[in-house]
Amino acid sequence: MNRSIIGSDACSPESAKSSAQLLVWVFIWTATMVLADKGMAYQWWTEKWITVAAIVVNTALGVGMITFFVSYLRKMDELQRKIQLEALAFAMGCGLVGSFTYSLLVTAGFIVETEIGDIILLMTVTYMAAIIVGRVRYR
Amino acid sequence: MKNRLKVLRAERDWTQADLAVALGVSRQTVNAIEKGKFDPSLPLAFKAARLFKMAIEEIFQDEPQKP
Repeated sequence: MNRSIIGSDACSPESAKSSAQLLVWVFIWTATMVLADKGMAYQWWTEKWITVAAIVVNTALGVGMITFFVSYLRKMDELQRKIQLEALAFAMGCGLVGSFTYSLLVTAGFIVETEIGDIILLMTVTYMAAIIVGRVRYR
Repeated sequence: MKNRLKVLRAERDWTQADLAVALGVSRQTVNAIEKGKFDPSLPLAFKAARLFKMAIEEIFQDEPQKP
């Protein structure tokens, strides 16, 4: 039995440590994505291999982040997993519906610019809000 | 689903944290089960039954759903 989160509070040092590690993964992945994106957009470098390396490093860190998140979920107990599942379902649903609504608004001419970052932001905010609601609901 | 976890825990003078450690779950989960906000899985219910040396139905009772 893995006891790194279970047998403790959601705010226990063990749980906080795992959450902090997840945040570090997310931060590093986001930072390398921004670096790769802005680097290419503003031509911080001209060599093709640096572009390829930036994409490969970002993708590899993304895979690492996903792997860590899966192991993070497996360490949780059934209630914590239920809260995560509900939050992920809510965030994915909002992202899906939001992206199609966004697309319709663009087609209708109400919105000119389309940014994938807006959908990611929507999903992130809804996920975090759903986690808070879940923790309060089962408190 | 109703349960007697809180009573059984109190009889043994255990805190929610003590029971959480014994069951291998978070204190929040024990609290949610005691308050009837969350129904435990069958393996967790069996674990509680083993811990209190009782039958599952002596700890957890099904509540008929209102029509």
